[in-house]
Amino acid sequence: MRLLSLRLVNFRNYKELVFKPKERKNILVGKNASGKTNILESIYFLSTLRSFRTAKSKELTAWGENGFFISAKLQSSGMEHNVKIFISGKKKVVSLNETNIKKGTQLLGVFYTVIFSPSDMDLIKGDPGLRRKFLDVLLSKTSNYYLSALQDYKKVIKQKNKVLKSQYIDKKLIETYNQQICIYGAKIIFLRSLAVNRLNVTAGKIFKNFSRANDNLMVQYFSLYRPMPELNECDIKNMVAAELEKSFFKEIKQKICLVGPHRDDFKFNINGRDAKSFSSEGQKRSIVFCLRLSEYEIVKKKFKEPPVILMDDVFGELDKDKKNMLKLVIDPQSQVFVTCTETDTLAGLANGAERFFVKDGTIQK
Amino acid sequence: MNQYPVSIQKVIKWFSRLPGIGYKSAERMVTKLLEMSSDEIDSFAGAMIEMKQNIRNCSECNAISDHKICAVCADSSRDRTIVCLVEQAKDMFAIERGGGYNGLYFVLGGKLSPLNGIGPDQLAFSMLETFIDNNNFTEIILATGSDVEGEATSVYTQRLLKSKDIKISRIAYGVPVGSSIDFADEMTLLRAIEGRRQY
Repeated sequence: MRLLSLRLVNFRNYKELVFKPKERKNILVGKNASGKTNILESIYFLSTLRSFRTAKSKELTAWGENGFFISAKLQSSGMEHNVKIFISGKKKVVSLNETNIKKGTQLLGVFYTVIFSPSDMDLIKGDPGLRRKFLDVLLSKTSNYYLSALQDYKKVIKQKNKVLKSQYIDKKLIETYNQQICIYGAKIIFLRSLAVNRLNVTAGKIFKNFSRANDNLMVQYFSLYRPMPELNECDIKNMVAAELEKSFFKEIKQKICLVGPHRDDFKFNINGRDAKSFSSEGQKRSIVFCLRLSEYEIVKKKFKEPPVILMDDVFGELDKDKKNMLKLVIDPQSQVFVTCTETDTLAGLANGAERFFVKDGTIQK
Repeated sequence: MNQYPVSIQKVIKWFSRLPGIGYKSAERMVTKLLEMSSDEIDSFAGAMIEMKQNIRNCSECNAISDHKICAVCADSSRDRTIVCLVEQAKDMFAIERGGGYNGLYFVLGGKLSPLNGIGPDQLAFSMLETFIDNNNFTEIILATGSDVEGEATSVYTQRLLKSKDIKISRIAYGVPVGSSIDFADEMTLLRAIEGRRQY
């Protein structure tokens, strides 16, 4: 997958910009607040129709304008694709090869980006919602089946929460939603546990290379408030059902859904110890790097071609050895976009890269 | 900017409240209405008033009807051992158009969605229980929609009727008849594979 050209109109600080990146490594150099991350954000937007920084389209629109426009020429599965996105307030028009598309899932497999950003540290330090989101994005971008189960599940949870908050509680209605939670919930938990296993295989391998001290990284999946072993969907369904039955009155008392994959979490262990409390900042940084790299590997395997890598200002924080290590683990086949303030901080990664200078809403070679 | 006279604007506004009608279509309808004679307009308006006055819900099955009991419930040639549960009366007419089903119907009047203020009390569940108690049905077919709310409505009905001596079945989902496999979207195909039956 490659970005061949990008055009932005009224996107963040860009009134009008045309950017033709190189096939492999692209380094965007510029001072703070010059708009480097905005470029990455627009490329990410092409793959997800979302920003990794904000949920509000207004923040993406240039100051004083009504809407923004992104168009791009992409290359994937040996074909060129034209994607155009126009967003103004609540209105969103997306077209793929001159045909309007209604659902983001129609873009599936056309373009995928893996983003490395400083806020990734929250995956370890932050609340469980962020970790679930990481898995959800990875799974829904690679499987429509997961996405539709997740959407259905979220609807059921909303309905059930509404019932739990009502004055008179219809127990049969709660049982009805519980039955649906078992079906959709088991699908989600099952697919998440498979994904965590895949992450374990790839991330573990990458982490061994990355940390000089042969450390073991394990991702542990917690569902229904316990470590979730690898089970088949039917067993998981029975487990969810048992748990729902056990918490039936507790849920009514607390007026909220307590059981199901919307309460899932996962933990990172280094040599058997919880990374959140026991590892150093440097180790945490290595873990999130490995997670993103394994996301890259999983996506590459799924679509049989390398996704685009976006690295937002992540190099200031790594030591020289790690930077050189990164040069080795990053797939030379992939197209990479890196932002930094000065090129000399990139060490070995800058070899063979094209530099672009970002200044006041323009890009120059 | 010059606009239509108020009386015309009013009618356009009413028409655009109907499903599938936007401003432009409403405008075209109104232009056509203006060409009609007063007599025609009178009978058009009269028909709407008459429809609203005469149509009520069947006291047995809750379907819409112009009599106390609807045509299906009144038809003595129908199979009175089987009943089909639908969300709306229009679902019933859709099944009727197929012509292959000869049992009775029951119209629930919607689907469960507490988020939109529709709980069991807003739907005709108690009427359904009476309907089943007053008849000798051996089977009820749950023909609510395949979306999350329709599915929940079916599950709820099944739990409600569990204690009654009646077979409860759910309609099948899958590939539309007469269409090739590759035309169906992937979720429909998955449903079709999950709901496969022995040959």
